[in-house]
Amino acid sequence: MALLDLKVNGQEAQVEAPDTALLLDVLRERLFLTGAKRGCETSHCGCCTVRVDGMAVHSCVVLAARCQGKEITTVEGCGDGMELDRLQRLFLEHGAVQCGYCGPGMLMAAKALLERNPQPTLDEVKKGLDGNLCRCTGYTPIFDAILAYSRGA
Amino acid sequence: MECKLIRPTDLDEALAAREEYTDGLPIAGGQSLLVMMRNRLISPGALIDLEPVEALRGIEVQSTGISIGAMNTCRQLIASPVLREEVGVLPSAARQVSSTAVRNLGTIGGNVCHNEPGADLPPVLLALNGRAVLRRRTHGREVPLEEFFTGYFETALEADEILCRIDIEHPNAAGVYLKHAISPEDLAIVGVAAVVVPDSERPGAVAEARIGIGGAAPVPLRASRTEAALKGAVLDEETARAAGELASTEVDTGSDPHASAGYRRKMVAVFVRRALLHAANQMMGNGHGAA
Amino acid sequence: MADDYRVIGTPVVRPDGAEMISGQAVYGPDVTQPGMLWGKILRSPLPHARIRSIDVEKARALPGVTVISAHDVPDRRYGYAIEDEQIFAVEKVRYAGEPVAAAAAPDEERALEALSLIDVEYEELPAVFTAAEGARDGAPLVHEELGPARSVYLASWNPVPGTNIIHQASHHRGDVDAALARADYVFEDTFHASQIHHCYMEPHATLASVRGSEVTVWTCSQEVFQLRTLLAGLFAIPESRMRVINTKVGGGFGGKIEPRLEPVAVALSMHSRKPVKMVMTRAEEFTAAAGSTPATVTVKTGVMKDGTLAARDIDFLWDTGAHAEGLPPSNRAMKDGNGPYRVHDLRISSTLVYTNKMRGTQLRGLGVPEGAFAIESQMDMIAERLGMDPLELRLKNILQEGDINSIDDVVQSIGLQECLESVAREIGWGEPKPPNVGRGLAVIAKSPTTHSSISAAYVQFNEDGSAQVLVGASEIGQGMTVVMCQIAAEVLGLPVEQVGISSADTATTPYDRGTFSSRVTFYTGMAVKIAAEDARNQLLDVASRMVEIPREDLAVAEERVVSPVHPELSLTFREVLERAHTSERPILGRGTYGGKGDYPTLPHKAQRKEYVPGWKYAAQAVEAEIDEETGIIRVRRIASAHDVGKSLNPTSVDGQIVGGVVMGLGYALHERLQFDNGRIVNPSFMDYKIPSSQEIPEIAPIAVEVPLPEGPFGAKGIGELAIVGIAPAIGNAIHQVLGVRLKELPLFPERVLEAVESQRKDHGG
Ligand SMILES: Cc1cc2nc3c(=O)[nH]c(=O)nc-3n(C[C@H](O)[C@H](O)[C@H](O)COP(=O)(O)OP(=O)(O)OC[C@H]3O[C@@H](n4cnc5c(N)ncnc54)[C@H](O)[C@@H]3O)c2cc1C
Ligand code: FES
Ligand code: FES
Repeated sequence: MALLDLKVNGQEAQVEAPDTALLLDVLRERLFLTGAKRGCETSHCGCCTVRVDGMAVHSCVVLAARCQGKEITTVEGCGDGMELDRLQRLFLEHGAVQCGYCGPGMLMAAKALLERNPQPTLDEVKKGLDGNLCRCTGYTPIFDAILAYSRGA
Repeated sequence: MECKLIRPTDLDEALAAREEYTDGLPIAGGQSLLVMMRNRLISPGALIDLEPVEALRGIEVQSTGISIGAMNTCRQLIASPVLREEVGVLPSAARQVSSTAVRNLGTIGGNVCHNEPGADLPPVLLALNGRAVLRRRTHGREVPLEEFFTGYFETALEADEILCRIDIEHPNAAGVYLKHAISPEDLAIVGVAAVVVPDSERPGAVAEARIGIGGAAPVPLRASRTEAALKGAVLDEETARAAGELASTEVDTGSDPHASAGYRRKMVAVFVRRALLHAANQMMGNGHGAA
Repeated sequence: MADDYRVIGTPVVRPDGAEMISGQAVYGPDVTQPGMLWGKILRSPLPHARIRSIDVEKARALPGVTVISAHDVPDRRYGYAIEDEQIFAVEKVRYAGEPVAAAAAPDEERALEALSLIDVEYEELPAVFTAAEGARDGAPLVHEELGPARSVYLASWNPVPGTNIIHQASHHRGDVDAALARADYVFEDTFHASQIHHCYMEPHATLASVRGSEVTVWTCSQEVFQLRTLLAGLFAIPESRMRVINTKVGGGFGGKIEPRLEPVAVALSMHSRKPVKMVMTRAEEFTAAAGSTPATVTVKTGVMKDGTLAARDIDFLWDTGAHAEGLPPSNRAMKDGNGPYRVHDLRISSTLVYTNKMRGTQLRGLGVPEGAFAIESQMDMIAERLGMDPLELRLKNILQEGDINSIDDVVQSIGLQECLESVAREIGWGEPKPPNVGRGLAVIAKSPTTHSSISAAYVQFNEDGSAQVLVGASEIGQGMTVVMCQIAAEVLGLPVEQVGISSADTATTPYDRGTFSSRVTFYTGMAVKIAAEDARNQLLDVASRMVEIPREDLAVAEERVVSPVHPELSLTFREVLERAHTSERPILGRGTYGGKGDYPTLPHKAQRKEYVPGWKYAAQAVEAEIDEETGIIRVRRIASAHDVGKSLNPTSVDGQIVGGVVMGLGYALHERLQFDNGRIVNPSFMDYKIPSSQEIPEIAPIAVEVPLPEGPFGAKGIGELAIVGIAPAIGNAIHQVLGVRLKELPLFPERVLEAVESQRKDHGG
């Protein structure tokens, strides 16, 4: 077991976890941040996507111990209290959330993309979401929400 | 039962840990390793974290070629101005590896050591005459990648070694990597890298063409007979087609849920031809450099 | 129809959207209870084997671990269609993946450790892996004896005793043989639809908690009431003591209808006296949950020279795996197998066969995709032979208003021709194109769900004048909650934000058959509409007494009671509710809908069967680019037009269409479970590919509105059809470019190439 010092959504947290605990498990089971979802646990579905130092990563294949000293951002860090942020609102307005299970991961992947590339083309949006599967929406509404964001709509 | 995490601060510590923990494994990006552990295909007693090891980083241009630290992530390969300038084919292949999240963390060293059939970097590194720079606590050695890839998910890496760098040739050449997959983020059914060196005496002819093939067979390989046949050739449609046909006989293809051996063989012919023509075009366009 | 609706037909954002996109919604895997254990299942590694012995003693010796197997649970069979399953395998296992034992422990690791200590001795038995093998005389039997069938699914049950044939049915009209003999041409072709997986992103997850004599089950389910009935019966407790609470459901598509983890979780909780949580791994999902029910479809069609369809004889052979959950799709093929065509002389037969594989169950489209791939592929083959344009051939034969359909219904409220013409226009049918680009069409239909399709709703006013909807149906991502809120808001004269909704909790919401087969918009929607009207009338009664104006002269608008007769009247809902709550009675509207009694009977059908409203129709068109050398198909554009009756929420409707189309794309191009001797060899998203963001073509969703008088505000619902026509449309596009006809799904590159090569051989000699 190890004591880990993590900074999640701007807040310091100390958790005890096995040496090689995965970030996803620590977030969900120890910090009760269940916004990152378990979909496959093998780095294919992206439901567990969070950002570490701004980069989108699949938290099911990241060692929590390695995230010490880094900024971890999860969906719970988006928006302000009961207020959604602009990208979250656009996701809803465009119907980018059906069952919603992929939503938090999609949102984090989209944020990483938009930060890297504020004016992505449609193809760049598709590439930016290449680690996130969605079975409900057919992706198009998600693309639309991201493009609307970059247009300032 | 619990797996330990060892965090060495430099290469010596890492190598010492590697020697000490005989049931341990180095962890690079963890993208494949942690999946294997989750699927209970392996259960190492310790993970030796290579992230803090400075000696495994950096991309250096040397007189003979370029030396790439094993811990460079695909993301870093893509972003590297040096690579883009000198060997564009490598970042272009790195861009085709899996998904954004995997590219953000997965490393060139991990990609090579994992040696998964269908991985994108091995064929390119083969075609760039890549060499694996290995170290164990007491000494080091260098192995050409053709000898490093020994079998299905197997390499020449010894249990106490760490892959430190991959050295590639500074090619005065054009290079292309073509990936055939159902969707771009999948492992390649067939991935072909072609690097062609122009013949400075005879415009339009190639002094040398090097072909790396991944996905098609259990082990990535160089199509050496095809390469021999192409020495000095002018790469037109006809030659490229013949080269493709020849290459497809050099590959011991296998079947899996994605494709049969027969289909893979045909695709080797198609993609070797296409890659060679692409590379030839590039060569005519801008002499050297790469796409 | 000019609508003057305020809320209906507008793109209202879903009320549960914010909790989902902020990561706060509680899905199955997110539920926790203090002191809970984690449960894991030991599954059979063999497809068919006698269990010689099970030794759980070593596992039980682990501290804090509960281990159970068949001896520890009720010796009862269960199943929604046919009772052919037990919690754990008894005497023998029938597929690789079948539960044999289970363990609960404080964490997953420990539960897995316990499972690894269980010794099971098997004696392998000969097995059957295809429906054709299974149906053969003398084939090894998957089930030696059958449990009773449930009338809910079947008017009549027709197994062939002593075989693996679990059900055989046929639907017959006219004289098919004579009509085929008279036809100018007869086409006979056999098609194979593969088994695909639902691939909802959320795995099955259940938490069961037994406290005293009360059992509570949190689970992600499409049908909580059916599940409650089943669990209560299985454990022999009254339904009043068995509470099933739906969590947020991360996608269902038919895969979360029948029980999976729930019986095991309840049994583990009963034995451990602790809450037990279970979550499937993705590999378990692929190997032990369920897939679609694949079919081999043989179609014989008689055609006249002018293109008129003269007769059709369709034979379905379904592979249901080890349990008969394939019954609903196999039965539905009777009604839907012929597609939306006018064919008088018709025979459809369907045979459902057990095999030693993971079960097939319902999957979005419910038996329609398998038939449509056959029918719509053959329509193009017919067009080619007659030298007719495939569009023209379809226009000539599709159902029109007033026609009699396959099951003798009079066709009503059909917008199919408009759907077909609009997708043809959208895709540029008949316009010039490069030689490597093909275009293909398909038309499709799905009958409404009728068997015991019942729904109920309450609509209650709160004291501040806002309202609460209670329904028993499940929100599985289809946008049910927003549509129900819209319906209530429209009727009640409230802004939609003033309507709240609770759903799918057997202890607090009224009965509903559940979310499947695109039925919720229609049935639950009608129940909500009726309940809202009831609530509104009760509200007006109170108001009428308050202001002494007859109720008939009162109406609701903008959270107020108004009167066209007394324009000066303005009474807020809050005022009325204060009165109701202090000196009258609370306002609780009640609505029920469904059951045969409620179907309106049309006069001219009085002597025939009753008219069943709500057939859904659609047309789809694709444009695809084909690489002849590699067999790779790049779909560039898809148009999908749906006869939705009335679009209650355009965002929801477009979302259902686009989402269905993309699932159809996977079904067409690369999805299939692959087996080796009954074992699934591609149980991960690496080896079983669903469409990713990078494969998405341009998609044009089109809603054609021909209102259905019986539906809520004219709506029919959409749900499933969008998945159906993509595969045949792509097959037709491939044929247009390469001249080859692929009769087996999926249409993956290797198959395309093989077809091209075998054609070359045939032609080149
Ligand atoms: C979902 C998914 C899709 C993928 N798709 C592709 C794809 O399309 N194309 C592609 O090329 N690859 C693909 N990969 C593989 C991906 O690129 C790998 O994760 C990567 O190659 C491994 O790199 P890593 O740094 O994560 O290595 P790790 O997972 O950390 O390590 C992999 C193995 O290499 C060993 N190792 C790593 N570094 C060293 C070193 N320096 N010295 C000695 N041993 C070492 C480890 O001990 C381990 O055995 C995919 C992986 C996943 C999970
Ligand atoms: S759960 Fe991490 S990628 Fe699927
Ligand atoms: S909305 Fe259900 S998986 Fe994306």
